Amino acid sequence: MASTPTAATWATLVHVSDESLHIDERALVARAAADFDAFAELYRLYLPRVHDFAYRRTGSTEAAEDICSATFEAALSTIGRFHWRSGGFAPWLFRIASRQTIAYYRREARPRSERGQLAMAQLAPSTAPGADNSLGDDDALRRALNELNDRYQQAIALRYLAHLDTAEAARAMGLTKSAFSVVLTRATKALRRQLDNSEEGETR
Amino acid sequence: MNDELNKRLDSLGEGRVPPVDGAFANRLEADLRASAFEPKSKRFNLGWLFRPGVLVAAAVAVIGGIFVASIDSDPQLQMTAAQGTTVSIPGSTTFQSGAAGLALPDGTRIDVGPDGSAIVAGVVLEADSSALVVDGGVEITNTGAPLAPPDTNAPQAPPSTRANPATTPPTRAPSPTTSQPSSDNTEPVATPTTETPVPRPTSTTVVRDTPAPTTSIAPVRTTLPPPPTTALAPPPVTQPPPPTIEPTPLIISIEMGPIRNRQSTIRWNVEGDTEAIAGWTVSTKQGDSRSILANLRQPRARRLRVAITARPIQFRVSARSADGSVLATSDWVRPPRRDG
Repeated sequence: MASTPTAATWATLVHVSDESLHIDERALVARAAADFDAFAELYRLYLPRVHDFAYRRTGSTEAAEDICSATFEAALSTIGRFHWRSGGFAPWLFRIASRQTIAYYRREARPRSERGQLAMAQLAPSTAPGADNSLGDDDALRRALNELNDRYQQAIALRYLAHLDTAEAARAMGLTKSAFSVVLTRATKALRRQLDNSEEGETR
Repeated sequence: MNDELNKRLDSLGEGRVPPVDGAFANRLEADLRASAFEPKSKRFNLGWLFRPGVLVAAAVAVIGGIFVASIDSDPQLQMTAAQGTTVSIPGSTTFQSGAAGLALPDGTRIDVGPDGSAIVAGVVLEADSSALVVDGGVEITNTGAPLAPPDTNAPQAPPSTRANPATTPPTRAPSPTTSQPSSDNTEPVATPTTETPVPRPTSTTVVRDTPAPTTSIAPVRTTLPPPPTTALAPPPVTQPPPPTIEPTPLIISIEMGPIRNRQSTIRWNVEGDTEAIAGWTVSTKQGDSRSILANLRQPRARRLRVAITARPIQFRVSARSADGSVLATSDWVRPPRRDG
């Protein structure tokens, strides 16, 4: 097995392109169900991307780490059932990450009453605990995103935050490219309306 | 407006992100490794049993199982199609018109009118035909089709030979309920819907009713025993063997007409002594699966119209005696390749 990477090594693994990995990735995925070392290599390749995705989605390092943990635990337990398709490993993994993000928000929201959540939203600019407030008006965008239904949240997050192309994002959601485009268009419109409503509420 | 939103989303997607904390990454990898090498029993979690999908699947399986069990326990025939047909269901005091999907319990009588027709269990009941449902199968009492003329040319065995069981011992299996045929020449009677596959000789035109005169003939001695010293009895006289009786074998030839509207007609002919024929059994074969399509109670029936619901399928006809034993069996015949 390869040696455990240092923090510096992790930093260099950020934004590794799919193309450079594609040939070995398939072999790694094939071995990963029975060989943890192969899974560990996939983990090291994808952790930075999943972390970025989760951080952009939540604005919180703490939340991003929670989502990363849940995502890779789920991936490890289900990789035996993964079948390589044209989209490859990334759409499958980001589908898990996207669901874990939605689940994370549900878990966070569950203990709070509706009134309490509204109050928290007014008090705290971010909906995720430990959010980095330096990201400015991204928080308003995230809050609006959280108000959309799961499907719309997933479409926008996969396309804009996970940086999957249309085909990969469609694969991750189990849709055709054209169907995904329709969903994304509707999701964007819904997000626009949500932002408008939020801005109107703030100005009153 | 949407361009502005897209820019904001792009900005969110490309904004500065703190690098992954190496300590977190290493810790998570160690946790994953520990999880991967945990014994399966520790990771076994019954929580999945209570997920809604699993519960729904279990309910569907139970209901489906009950449904299949109910089908198995009550193999009731249904009418596939009917026109100008009268159905008399046991226990009912009224007749009713035949219709597709009508359940046909055992004992149901089906009468097809002069302009009618019906399809039941793959058998086409032609005009003026009638049938009974027996043990979940079709027993045709009248095919409605022209019958063969009475058999006047068939050679008849001398009555004396038939009257003397000692000279012509029966070789048929007498019991129609035998599930394991005692020889290759016997089959269970038509009441079960599935035949037990029986290995057969390569030539499928089988003569079944050939008695073997083996028991009544005394052996001929070539040397005389020494004469008794005191006996006055005459020496044993070698008797001539009784005349050998060769019953005319039954040979059934069979053919199928062209398929039209997914129906075809099986026609057969029989040569030999037809006196013992009490009815016919039409069987089908699909792969290794054999089943009885219908029993015909008319000895002079020579044709049956059938619905071709699946391919490849083969048919054959067996002549049966009054006690249900098989007298002769035709070759398997399959419908012509091209639809007519």
